[in-house]
Amino acid sequence: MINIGTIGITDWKRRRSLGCLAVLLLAGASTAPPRTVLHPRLSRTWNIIGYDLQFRPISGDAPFTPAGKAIFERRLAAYDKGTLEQEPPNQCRPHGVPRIMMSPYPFEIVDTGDRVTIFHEVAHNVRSILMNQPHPANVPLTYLGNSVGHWEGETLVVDTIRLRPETWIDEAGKPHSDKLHVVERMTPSVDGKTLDVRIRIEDPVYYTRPWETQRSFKTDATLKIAEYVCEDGLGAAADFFK
Amino acid sequence: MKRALLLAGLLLSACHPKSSGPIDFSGLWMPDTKVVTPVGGTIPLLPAAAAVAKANATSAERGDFGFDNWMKCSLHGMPRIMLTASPFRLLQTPAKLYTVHAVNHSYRVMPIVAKHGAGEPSYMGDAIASIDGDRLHIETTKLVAGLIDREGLPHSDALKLTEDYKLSSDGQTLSGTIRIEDPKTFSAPWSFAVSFHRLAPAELPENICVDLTDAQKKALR
Repeated sequence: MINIGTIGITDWKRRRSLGCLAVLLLAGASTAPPRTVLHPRLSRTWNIIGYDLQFRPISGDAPFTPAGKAIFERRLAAYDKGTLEQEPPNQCRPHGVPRIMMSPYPFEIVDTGDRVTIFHEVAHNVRSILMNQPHPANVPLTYLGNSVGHWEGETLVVDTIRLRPETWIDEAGKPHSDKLHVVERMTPSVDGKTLDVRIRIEDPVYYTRPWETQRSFKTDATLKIAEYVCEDGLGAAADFFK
Repeated sequence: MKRALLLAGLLLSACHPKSSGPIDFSGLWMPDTKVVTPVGGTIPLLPAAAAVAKANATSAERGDFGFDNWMKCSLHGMPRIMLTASPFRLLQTPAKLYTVHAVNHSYRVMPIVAKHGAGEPSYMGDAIASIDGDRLHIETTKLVAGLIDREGLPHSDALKLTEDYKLSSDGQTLSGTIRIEDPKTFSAPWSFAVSFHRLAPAELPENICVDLTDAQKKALR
């Protein structure tokens, strides 16, 4: 969980903001949209650099528990034999987190102040990250989980919990439970051309300790997301995986 | 009373951004319009398209929605997604507008630019937006053939859509027209009225088509 006390908003500013919000809501008025992009180096369309089926730990091996190792080795063996196990994206369900961050299709990050939205091309996944607030209580398990975020300078820190255990950590098949807790630190380079995403994975059911992995992304002015309708290939996918 | 009004004025003045920039259309919206009612009374269908529309309507009456690709989890597409019983979030930045629809996490991206870009035909099409005060104008082209509404009114890949919306003075209603230009399907351009009402702030639920029952999909037609 993020520590709201570290987000850099002093109490009086927070109280004034909440007061103004209440006044505007009561008056039925809407605030003007931001006239400039708030975090221009991050608010772009990004594409992954390179491709790897696995999220590999930055140092050492993935610290599997025996149960985690057994599931991962079973899935790897199935992959090697060409008898892939089903994972949600095979049937047009969302990829899960952090799995979605290894997709070879671009995504667009949109910062609208109180919310950061990530539009993924692949299978029209959309992540919504509410800013500067704790996770709500009693949220259901979902494929993309519940995400909250805050800024540390130009780094967007995204904290995600309540992920459905059917999704995989990576395409190779690292498992996770419903106790998975993911923290992503998304930092654009100074020139705005690359994005570094550090991913911390914590899941006491399948990993003996938290571990970190990383992905890099690139952007250019011509990059944009296209429409990717997984569902139009459902019949073919079902035939392939049955 | 005077004091109360003065206080309210001061509070609004202190809180409202001192900007003459564009009005904020963002928020959570719910379509009010489910069935297309043409301005002027008739839909100028060409004979072949009229036959398709009649066949679809007959199938729908029988409870057979085989003509509707949404029942196979394909996207509703434009303009139908704006007539679906599903809320959507409108996001606004200086450069683009976006809608995120609850139904099957579909979305639209609408750059605020003057000219259409390159791109392949798609369900949501190639959209460009402009904002003039409390008015929102969106033009969409490059759409794949599909349905305009749940009744099965067809359109071709030649469809050009023009959405013109006005935000009500209290910010609670977005209303206007969608103009249809499709010379392969209709003998003349025509329009229908649409409106949306603002919902209280909330998060959209995760809605995954392949996890829905047929009954749930029918409700979201």
